[in-house]
Amino acid sequence: MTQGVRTAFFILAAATLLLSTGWFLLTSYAPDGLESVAGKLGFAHRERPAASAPMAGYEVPFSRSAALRKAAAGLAGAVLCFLAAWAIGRYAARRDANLAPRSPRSLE
Amino acid sequence: MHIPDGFLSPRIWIALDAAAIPALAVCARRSQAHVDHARIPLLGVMGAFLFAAQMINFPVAPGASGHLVGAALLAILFGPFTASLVMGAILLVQSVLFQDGGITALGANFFNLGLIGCFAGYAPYALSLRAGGRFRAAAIFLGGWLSVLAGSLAVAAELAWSGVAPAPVLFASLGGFHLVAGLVEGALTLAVVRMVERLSPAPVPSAADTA
Repeated sequence: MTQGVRTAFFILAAATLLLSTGWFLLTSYAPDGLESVAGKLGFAHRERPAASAPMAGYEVPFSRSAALRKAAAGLAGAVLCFLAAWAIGRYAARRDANLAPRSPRSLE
Repeated sequence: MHIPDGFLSPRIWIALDAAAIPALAVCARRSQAHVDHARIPLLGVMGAFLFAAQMINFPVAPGASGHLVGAALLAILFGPFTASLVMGAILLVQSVLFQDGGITALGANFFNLGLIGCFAGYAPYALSLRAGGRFRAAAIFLGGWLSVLAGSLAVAAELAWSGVAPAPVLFASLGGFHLVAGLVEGALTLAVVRMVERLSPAPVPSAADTA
């Protein structure tokens, strides 16, 4: 990593850590746009989860502390998304390296 | 804006789930542009950052909130094909582990927030690149705004085709709300893109990437 990438990485990582573990203190609990419209137009009752999720509602199921349940869920999701995006980056970069010779267009 | 299970009729969600598979394959095939090894950690942390940022809702109207989507942000920094893949991964994690967005509606959410969000969000930036970088900041802001608005209109169309409410009402309600929420998206997109580019200048995706 270059110095600039490293700096950007650590700033975004710090912001991610803050947001993923403290999200429940910062977020508005008002319904989002789609939920609000669904409630007003009377189709919110159609929501039927097709399967249960291990951290439904952004809470892990194994702590008495609500804050800890939410912070752990947020952090777990952030770590998983980091790994997924990193793997996609590895795949894309490897494909890029395998494209030889590179077309002039891809070098624009 | 994540559609939960039950909102869409089976013919809509099955069609969109089926169409998402070749769409993902095309994105994977075209994702090679502009992800060099040095920036892989940045893509990883951006994926985590967007997941975390999507948990923070902010008030948009009385009794209603919105959140950053980040599709335009990813598309501008890493190209729309790679961005769509990362958005797809975030949506998968949210749906399967957190029940945020339906599993049956995963294809629809991928189309709305991943594909449409990334490509609509990237389009003004691509036009700016073609014009030699003129109005670049405005294009980035517009991309953020447009990504949210276009995604919401796609949601409205899918809900209308599913027969949950009349199309004009859905388009007016969802479009009107996201006209405003998109302004915050545009401002945050511009702020984060500028911060990343100032610290880590990199070859920007070319306008040809959307072709």
